[in-house]
Amino acid sequence: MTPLAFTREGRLVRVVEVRGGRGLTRRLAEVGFTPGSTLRVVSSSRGPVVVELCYSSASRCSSCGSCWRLALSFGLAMKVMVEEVESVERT
Amino acid sequence: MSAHRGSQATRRFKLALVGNPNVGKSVIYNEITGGDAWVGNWPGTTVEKKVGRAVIGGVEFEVVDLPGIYSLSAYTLDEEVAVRFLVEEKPDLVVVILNAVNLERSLYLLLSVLEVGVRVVAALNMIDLAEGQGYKVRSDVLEELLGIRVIPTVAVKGVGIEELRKAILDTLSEPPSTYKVNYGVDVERAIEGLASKIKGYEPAGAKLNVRWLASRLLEEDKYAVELVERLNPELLKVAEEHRRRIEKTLGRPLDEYVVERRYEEASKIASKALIKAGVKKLSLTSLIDYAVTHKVFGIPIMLTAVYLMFRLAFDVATPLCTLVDYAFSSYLPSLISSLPMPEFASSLIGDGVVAGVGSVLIFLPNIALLFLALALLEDVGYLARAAFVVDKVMHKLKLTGKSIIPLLLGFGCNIPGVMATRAIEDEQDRKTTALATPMISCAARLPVYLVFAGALFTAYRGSVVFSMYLWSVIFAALTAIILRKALFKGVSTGFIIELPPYMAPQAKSVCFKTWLRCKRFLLKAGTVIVAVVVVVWLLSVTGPSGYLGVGALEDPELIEQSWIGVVGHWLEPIFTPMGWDWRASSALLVGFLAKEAVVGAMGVLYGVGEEGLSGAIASSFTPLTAYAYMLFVLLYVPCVATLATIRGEMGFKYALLALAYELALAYSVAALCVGVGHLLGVA
Amino acid sequence: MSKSWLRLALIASSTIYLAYSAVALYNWLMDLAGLEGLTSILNTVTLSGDPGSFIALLTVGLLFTGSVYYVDDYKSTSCLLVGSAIAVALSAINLLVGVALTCDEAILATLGEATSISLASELTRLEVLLGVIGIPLLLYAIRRARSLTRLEV
Repeated sequence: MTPLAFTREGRLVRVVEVRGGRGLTRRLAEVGFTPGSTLRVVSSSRGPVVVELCYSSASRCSSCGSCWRLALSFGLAMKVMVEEVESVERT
Repeated sequence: MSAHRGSQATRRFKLALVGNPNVGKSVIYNEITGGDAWVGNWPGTTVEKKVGRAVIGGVEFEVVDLPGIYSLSAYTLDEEVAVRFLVEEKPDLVVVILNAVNLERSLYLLLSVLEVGVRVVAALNMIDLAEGQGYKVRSDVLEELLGIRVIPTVAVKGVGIEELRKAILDTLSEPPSTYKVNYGVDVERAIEGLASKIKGYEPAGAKLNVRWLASRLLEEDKYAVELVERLNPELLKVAEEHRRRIEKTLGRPLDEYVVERRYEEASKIASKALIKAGVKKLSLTSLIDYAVTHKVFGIPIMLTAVYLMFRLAFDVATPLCTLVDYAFSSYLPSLISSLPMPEFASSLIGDGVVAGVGSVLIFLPNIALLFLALALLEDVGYLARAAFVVDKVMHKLKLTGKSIIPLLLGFGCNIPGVMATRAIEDEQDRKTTALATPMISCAARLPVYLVFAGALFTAYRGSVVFSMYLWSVIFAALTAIILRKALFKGVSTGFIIELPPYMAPQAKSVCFKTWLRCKRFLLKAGTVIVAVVVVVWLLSVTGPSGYLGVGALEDPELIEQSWIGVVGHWLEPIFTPMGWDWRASSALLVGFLAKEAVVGAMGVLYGVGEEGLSGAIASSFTPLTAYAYMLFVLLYVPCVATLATIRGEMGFKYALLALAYELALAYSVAALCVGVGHLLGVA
Repeated sequence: MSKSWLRLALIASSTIYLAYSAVALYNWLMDLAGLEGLTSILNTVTLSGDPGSFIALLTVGLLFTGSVYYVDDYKSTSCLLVGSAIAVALSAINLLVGVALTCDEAILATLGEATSISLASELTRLEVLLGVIGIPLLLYAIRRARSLTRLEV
């Protein structure tokens, strides 16, 4: 389990937990960072992180091309704990 | 529905627009209202409020554009404004704009709005993009599942707008939504119990949606807590008991669970309404983003975008500026002086009012093009990326990526810069940025540098002017760091920025945005600056001895006896260490009111006009005292109009703070400059 | 266009842009020092000398280099697409500025504040010329982007 801020570009990761106060976990949950949701790391370089979240949480696709992209500040990305799902590099 | 409220014909219905950011809400707003907009603030906040009038099928509507939001949780200011409006103002109808390219997210917001219990019509926007991405969204399925009208639209092309208008009219006579998200047995039971308790305390005629209030209270929603506390604080305890019990069975925070349930529901509906037609291996957005958000290329691309923007705003605008300048400094004054009027009135109009209006309008071409370029970058989708790319650098300055836009606008004029800080959610970040922005050297300060650099630094004038811009960035950064260390110590809450799919810009939307912002700038800056220039005029033609006559504007002997000259003499001892005479001090006084006026004022004070000013400056300043003077002009108070804007955005206290800080900073930097110069043996 | 030809064209373009950006930087530094830089080629094509041009040219050069450096088709196309788009935009903005400044001179002359009208030097900047060469690259990049983002039914 690593913070989202330290994941590598192109990896597919799953959210394990969001560490933070009530307001913060809520705010992150409402844009899609709930435990179990899968996301792809688009850009990450020890600063803010860009991730891509996809449709249909059950079977998160990796290639629908209709996913939405979010940039998260480094501080927030440190609070989202994730685990890697696959290590194939694709963006 | 509202027969008891008076006759339908005269009644104005309240219509609210709700949607995620980047969903095309402002375009739909435009289509419905025909561009009618009154722009202001939501009471007590800096969140922008847009209200317009629309007539649909003979029925009159007041259309309110709510801020772009992702949920109704009252965690951000935008959300609080929206939820407050929906609950307290009880709009007759809410149009929720769904994004066909991001259906799940849109449905989440739609469900939240439906739960409030209002009449809803949904516009399913950007269906063309969804089809381009390889899927169709079935609006009929959405209608059936949600029990509301769902109209497919392509707002930028005007597709579906007529149908949307018709649906609005039809829905007006229907009962409000009773849609319920099922939160599972435990939570539902708690909601029911709590709702019936709340009902007992509800004041007559309040018409609260108690189910909604109860469910939000269980989630510990800030706004719901506030509402219920007003009814009876005892209810909070009851809710707390329920919550504790449920969280024990769930084994996790209730609000997280509720959000997830709502998401699942949105997801379920989305999957039923989506039909996939094909697969795309790669989206154009991903393709472009690779280079744009790249570790190495990201910052250069951002700087290039800024460079292109500035060339558009400052170079392409040149002929327009020339025309405005001609109109206000030659054509109109000579027209006015030819009119049969007493000298006093003619000077008041010509040298006061017209000069004042001119001094605002001369910057309008630059500002308008800057706004245009920003609207273009925003609509294409680049602005969000720019904020992401610079965040790492801005973070070192204790600012956030979003601070970049106010700072960039500041190079044109500090006023829109300060106004643009409202897009920054975090309060500490917002205030820091707003107070750092006036350090940025605006277009009005450039003429001062040009005159001084031209007079005393002939060969090096380019580098001297450039150094001023460098100092301005350095001092903006220093100011931010100092403020974060001393005043706004809190940790930034961090940002979540959506990076919307890249899209071709739409002329209509870009122009409308630019127009609204220009209008706002003119109203805000215009009123203050015009008033200020008239005051400067008054101070120049009157003195302790009374009215001096309009001759004072051209006669250095006479102006010495005006208030401007007298105060300049008072100020002179303060500036003696820097080697500035009373004339330079007087010009600073004028510049306090509006910086672009410094050059003109000096021309009058030295009795040489603007043409002979170089020579006059060269004889009364040394390069060292001139450089210190330029630094002082850069740093000492932005101008009255910017201070007024800071007061409007942050309150009187901060405007005073900015004034005191900037005066102190300018004085010490100028003194330091002269001191160091003397030590080094520079004259 | 065959692959090797394209590579050659890209290597050449990136070299030109990088070299030109160095010249712009040099010119700017010379200007700061109050000296004359390399302001024109054969007195016909003008060369930039300001920090903004330096960065813009450097960006294009870097992106073209990236499009050669990356083997992955989508990375290379991304760099080429963005790079050539900026190159064309750079050319367009200089043309626009040139037209605007020439108009300005014409206005001043009509108002009697200037005596002669001359074409602004922006119109003959090297960026304008290079941008024209960038157009086929942009078109090629768009074609490649289209095929990469094709919808597979």
